[in-house]
Amino acid sequence: MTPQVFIDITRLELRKHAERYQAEGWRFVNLCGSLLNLDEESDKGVVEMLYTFARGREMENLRFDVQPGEVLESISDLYFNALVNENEAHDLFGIEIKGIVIDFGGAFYTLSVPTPMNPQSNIAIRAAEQKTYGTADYGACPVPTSSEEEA
Amino acid sequence: MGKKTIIPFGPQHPVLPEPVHVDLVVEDEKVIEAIPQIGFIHRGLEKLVQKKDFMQFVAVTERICGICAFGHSMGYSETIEILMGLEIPKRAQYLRVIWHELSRIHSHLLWLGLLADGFGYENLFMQCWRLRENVLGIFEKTTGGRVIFSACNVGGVTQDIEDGDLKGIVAILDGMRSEYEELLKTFLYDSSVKNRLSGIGYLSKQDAESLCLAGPFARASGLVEDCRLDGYGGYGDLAAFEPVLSEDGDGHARCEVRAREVYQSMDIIAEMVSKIPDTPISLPVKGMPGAGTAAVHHVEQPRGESFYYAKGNGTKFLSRFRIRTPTSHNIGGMTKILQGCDLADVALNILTIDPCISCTER
Repeated sequence: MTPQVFIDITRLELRKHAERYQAEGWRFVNLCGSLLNLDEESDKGVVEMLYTFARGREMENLRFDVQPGEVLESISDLYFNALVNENEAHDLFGIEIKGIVIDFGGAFYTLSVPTPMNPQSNIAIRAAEQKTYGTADYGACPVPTSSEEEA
Repeated sequence: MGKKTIIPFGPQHPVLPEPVHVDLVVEDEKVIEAIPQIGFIHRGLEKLVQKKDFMQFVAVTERICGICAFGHSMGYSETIEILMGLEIPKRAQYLRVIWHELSRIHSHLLWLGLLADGFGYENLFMQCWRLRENVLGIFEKTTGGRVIFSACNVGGVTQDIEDGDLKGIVAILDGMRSEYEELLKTFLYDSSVKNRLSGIGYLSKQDAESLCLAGPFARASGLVEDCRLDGYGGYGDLAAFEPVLSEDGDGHARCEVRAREVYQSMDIIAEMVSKIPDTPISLPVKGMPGAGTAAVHHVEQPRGESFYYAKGNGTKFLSRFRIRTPTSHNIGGMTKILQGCDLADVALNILTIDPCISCTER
């Protein structure tokens, strides 16, 4: 059976763990965001993150909460394939992640509904203040540039 | 050195059965960078766990993809069974493996046909899909459905297959072997196929490892990645299991791995049929996934590892369900093999990773 190992960490420890996993030959499996406390007014916008890594038959899951306004560090420089999940977490959950290798800036998912789908996220709140939430022009997506080119 | 130009590829393209967009940065005829974009068929199926209870949701997972339909319902059901601490009867485990491996044969034959179509070998395409009809016929005979057949449920399977019909399945697959042998020879040794696939889209084992690739894409570069090695469910009772590997890492290697996996699946089905025990096919599911419980699981789909995560909250609705499909991991590898390739090879290179965008976007 798949090992059920869940390790609770803090947001700031993510990089350290990811670097260790990479050095020890683990592969990145998944990144998942879950909205917490959907019905409780006080904690709205808190997202539980789950990062999964595997090596052979071992599998470990890092779990931590992201409060509204907190910014995550990308691990896509360590695990390139994480960029798909990180852009997805940004677009759908409104998680701000800095340093994504290819940052689409919200244009990875071309949806016909307002994104991010977490209206309590910082990105959505800022967009609502600027009255741009849900008014994206889906006709022409900007061509993203890699962070290397920007550097 | 030529001028850099950006050529949009997709989301609609003759070689793509599903929409994915790639911005190709080219210099003359060489691709120097490929930037993918998805989201054209995002359906938000994960969010439906808030509307469908954990038993009803099996039907939703089956509809994630038309090719890996059974695999997703199996992966979801097994995740919930882990979450609730259920151990299903052996016969149900074996039947799941039989249907899952039949799905792999049908998926690989479908892809081999698409590949043949991609490099212009129409007759080979037609023969692959003609053979695939045998597998769809087995699905129809055993379940009544050809693509989505609702045979899997939390707690077991919904329908049994009589022992006589099981032997009939093995006989049909044995009958396919001689015809498939002819197709295999064409895919592996025909000069026109080799000329079109050998050497294109090369990916080293180190790159496959660092990009965390999954499935035949990884195994074609020599990486031993196969969830069936875990031996979960009926796979644990196989006498032996060795993933099909190739060291070549190019388009032809990816074709070879999938082509040989068809034989492997036929052998697994024959072994399961010979060993299948006479037990009930399901157990009653009582209670709900507990509050604060969480489970992870992974299943080897035809395209590679699919990862499942479920979180219970004490009600009949899950608070979160997550699927990470093989193609979302293989997109990184796709961009890698596109770098440096000829513009004319882009379509075939994308096809060799066997992308499934429906799965990826859910």
